[in-house]
Amino acid sequence: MKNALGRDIPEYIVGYGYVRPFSGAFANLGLRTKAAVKVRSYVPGEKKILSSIEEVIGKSGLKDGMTVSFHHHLRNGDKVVNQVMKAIADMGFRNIHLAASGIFACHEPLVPYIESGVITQVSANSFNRGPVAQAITHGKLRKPAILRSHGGRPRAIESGEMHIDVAFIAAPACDEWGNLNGTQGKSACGYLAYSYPDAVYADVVVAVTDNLVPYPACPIEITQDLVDYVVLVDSIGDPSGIISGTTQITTDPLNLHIAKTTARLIDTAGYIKDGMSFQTGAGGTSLAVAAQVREYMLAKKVVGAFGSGGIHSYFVNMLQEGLFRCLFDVQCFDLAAVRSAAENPKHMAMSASMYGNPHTRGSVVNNLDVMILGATEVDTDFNVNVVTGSDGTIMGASGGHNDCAAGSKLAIVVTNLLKGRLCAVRDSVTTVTTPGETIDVLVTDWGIAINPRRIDLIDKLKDSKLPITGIGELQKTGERLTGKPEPQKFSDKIVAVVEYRDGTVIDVVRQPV
Amino acid sequence: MQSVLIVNANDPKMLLDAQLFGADALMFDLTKPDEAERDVARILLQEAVAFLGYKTASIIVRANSPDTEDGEMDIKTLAQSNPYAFVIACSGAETVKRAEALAQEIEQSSVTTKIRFILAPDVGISDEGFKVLIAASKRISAVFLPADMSRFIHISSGADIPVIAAPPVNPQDARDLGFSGAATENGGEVDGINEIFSEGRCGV
Repeated sequence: MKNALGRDIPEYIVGYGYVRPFSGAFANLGLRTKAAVKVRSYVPGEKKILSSIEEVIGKSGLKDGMTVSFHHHLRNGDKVVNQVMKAIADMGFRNIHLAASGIFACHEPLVPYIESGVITQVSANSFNRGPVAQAITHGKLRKPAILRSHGGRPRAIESGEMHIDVAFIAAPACDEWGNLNGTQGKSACGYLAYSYPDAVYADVVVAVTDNLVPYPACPIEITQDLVDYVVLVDSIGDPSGIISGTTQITTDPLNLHIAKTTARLIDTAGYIKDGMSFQTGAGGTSLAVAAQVREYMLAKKVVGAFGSGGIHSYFVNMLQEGLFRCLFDVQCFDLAAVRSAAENPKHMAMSASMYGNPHTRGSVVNNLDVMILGATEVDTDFNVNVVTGSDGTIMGASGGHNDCAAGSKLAIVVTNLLKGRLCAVRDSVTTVTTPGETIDVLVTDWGIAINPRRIDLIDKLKDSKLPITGIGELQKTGERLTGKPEPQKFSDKIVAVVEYRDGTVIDVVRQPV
Repeated sequence: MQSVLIVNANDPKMLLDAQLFGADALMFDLTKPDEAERDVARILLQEAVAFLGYKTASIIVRANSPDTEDGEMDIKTLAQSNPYAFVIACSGAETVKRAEALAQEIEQSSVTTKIRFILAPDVGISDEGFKVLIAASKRISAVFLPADMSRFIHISSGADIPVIAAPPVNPQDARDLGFSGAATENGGEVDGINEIFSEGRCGV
């Protein structure tokens, strides 16, 4: 069958189940029921602290075929996933569903577990290119991976679609009763916001810590009433690994030029004003846009309502300068953000659900004015791919991409038109992550294309000196320079299912040949 | 012509990207490539101009000295691409006259637009020598000077020849000193130059 974007998707996918096809960005809202939660009562005097991960696994009641969950706030410095999965493998468990909010290159030790059938399913909403992504791309995982958005994951957990049997929470500071926080200790990594739904909805919740503090931990981010067991390990991770990938402003003059153009567009469109809200990713160009927007805010003496999402030092500085009244933090992208989260009460945590879950009474993305997004490919209908490269290799997951695009008033994709020897604007993207109906503008080094659905924006910017053109023109320009590539060939094997934030299937990733 | 972006003529990526920074002029530098690569650079630049067009900016070619074989080839080859002007490094009027003769020869033997020169005088040149230099040809459309040679601006202005500041230069200083525009090798600086010079003195 074809979904609303014309993507060809089977009605039933082995290892995934029946498919609910994507039918529009806002077509699947309405009344929802949350899953019931299983809670084991503790009697006074019963100890939660256990001596090893193996003992925790034994006590947790883990069985073959169950789902274990992790969060990714230590990003590429995380050591908890590898330690726990090694113990699970050593104890002889098989057919485990690894439900991690993020998977990074540091998780390479998982590949043999995927190959041997210890791990047979992976769900993630943040995925960095690396060995695990390669293994999934090449069909080594027995069931298709499920790639969700940051808002889609808590929705799946809270609705019961993704039931977590045992949740492991990396806790940089934790007391023996399970009160914990992410902002203190040698492995402080910032707020643990992606793990909040895991803590509430998992059958068994385990705090894994390398910093056992006297009771009660203070402050408490996740409370003892949610935690079943506590286990002390030598190290939960290396916080320097948080700064993985691009969390520095680009120095490439062309990308800086894109950033300047983007900031000028935001200003010309009237979004730089008191009370504005703003979010960027951690890519070099996105951060450069933040730096440029800061200049406009300073010049206009504007005070924004909030910056949100993954928080980086540029937003921390803007908060300290009084350019934002507060920050909403779902993860820290660098150590300056970690310090700020620990010290500044205006730097607030938001749960992943509050951030982007469409099936709530309102998520923060709906209050967002301007969102800066990246893309590996964009098609002429403004559909965006951030999941796969043009060769079909899995390079990422949606992250907050389709959540923020759906919620924000101005969703801007920034990208170089030419990526290597390919044009980023295509007739059809390799994989759709974010529907074009939620993207407002594409800013490239070769010009700006405004989504024809945004008549208001076209009208507002028509007399500006911005280099506005059509997306078809951008495609022509790019393809004149790069040529039109032969389409990548794929086998019929589905290696990943890409869920839209509402749980419908927006696309699938097939194994490239 | 207030902003000039200098581009190594042997850098394919920059040849592609150069027109995206909003510079009034692109100065393709044939003196940057090593001697062994200059033939290739000439062809590359000729092809780039033909294919990419550079319609949003004036094209300037910084040639090797016309006193050399490379310089002669630079002008003869790239004249076919009809650039706005050639930048000529020169220590005295003899070099300008040689370039003038070469230009006449090219214009007689092939269909090109009028060949113009932008002079880049040697550092040690005297006031008198500079005056002789800029009077040596009617093809001189501008002078390209580092900031520490700004004393020549009034002489050049007297002859109605604009002066572009060579990098490294602070664009604000360049404007304050009386330069008509400024050049940079960093595309990211073009916006700043455009902004500073936008109130405008005489352009080229």
